[in-house]
Amino acid sequence: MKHVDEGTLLALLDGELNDGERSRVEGHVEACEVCAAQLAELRAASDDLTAALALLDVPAPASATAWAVRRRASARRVLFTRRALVRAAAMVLGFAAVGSAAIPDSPVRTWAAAAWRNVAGLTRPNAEPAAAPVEAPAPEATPVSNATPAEAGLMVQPENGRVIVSVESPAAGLVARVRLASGPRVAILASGEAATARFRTAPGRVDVVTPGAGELVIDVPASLLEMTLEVDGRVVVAMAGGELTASGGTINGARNEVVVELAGSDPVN
Amino acid sequence: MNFDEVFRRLYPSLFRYLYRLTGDPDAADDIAQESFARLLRNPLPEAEAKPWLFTVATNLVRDSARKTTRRERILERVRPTPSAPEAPDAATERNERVALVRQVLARLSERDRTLLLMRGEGFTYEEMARAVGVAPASVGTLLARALRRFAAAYRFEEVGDEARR
Repeated sequence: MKHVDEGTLLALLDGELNDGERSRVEGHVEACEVCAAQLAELRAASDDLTAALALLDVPAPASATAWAVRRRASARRVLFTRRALVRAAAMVLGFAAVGSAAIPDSPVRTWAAAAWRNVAGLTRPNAEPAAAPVEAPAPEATPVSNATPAEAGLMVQPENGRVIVSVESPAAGLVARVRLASGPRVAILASGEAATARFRTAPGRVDVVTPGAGELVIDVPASLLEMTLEVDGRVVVAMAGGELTASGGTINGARNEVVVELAGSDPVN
Repeated sequence: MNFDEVFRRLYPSLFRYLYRLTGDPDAADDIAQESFARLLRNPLPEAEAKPWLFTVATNLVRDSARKTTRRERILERVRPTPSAPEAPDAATERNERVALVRQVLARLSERDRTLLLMRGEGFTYEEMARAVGVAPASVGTLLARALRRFAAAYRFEEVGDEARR
């Protein structure tokens, strides 16, 4: 009797055989002790592997969403477009510079020098990104309190049910208190030195730039599809489906409110 | 292709696969998101998305491991597993077992490891064949051998581990 090879036996276990093959192999295994023993070994090894791999598993991060991936993909397109623009401009100016070199004191030379400085400005590390949100106040931003120097705030209209709150270069001692709330918009109130921050807004987004120590209270409508609080591009708090998820630097966590340190926080992605 | 639906369906599986492969949740998430970002730029029919994503992600892990300057091999990294609080002894024992599984996986060839982990994510033999570049008819045999190698090394390490206690 010709035995069944181990690849076919495993295919039987994995449901990879068609009906005819399965009947043939099952019939053989019933009659053959050698193949039956080999099948039992493979089954035991498969069970060992399944149990071992399950030991490694951790929950997937809640901050990973299709929306975050779309942002990541579009951010790369913006960067690519920007680089392409700089390269194209540099090429045109290179031709102009060559032309002007042949004509001393020509107006082309003067124009090329000034234009080059502009293009060089595009490549400076501190240059504003091409797709930077506009400075507040923007049409979709409504100040809620700037009567006293100790507090500043605004409200952000969601875009497609989503809002990003992005904190850039926070000072040590800045904490964020993120609370689930009702209402259609995200409200942000900065107090203490944090009130000196600059705010930039765009649809579905607010950037809080260089806030000092203090507190940012962020009220997030539980009805939003999604909200993320990012620090220098890293997600530290996410809200989806009416649930808040925080990582590293959490001072206090509850179902409806989390408090996180923003400077020196350990992000989730 | 409904990208949101594909993401919702496949992200948990891809993250689990990558975390099992790398032992680093941040890297697993980053590589998973990068793979989906590439899928967004190169849309595919939904049926092809899964093997394509896992192949891209596996290549990214390989590239990342090549670039790393650290001496430790990526699969030998051991991180405490975030989970519900456990008694110190239970947590220690769990971490030791996790380390043991990682050691055994790290000793397998890349193809063995990839095949076993893809099988764990419910890949068909046809999909695995495409992902690792072998003939579909050979997948059963390759998997059976990989499974035996894993089980032999795992049981050997388990016995050694118990003897050391």
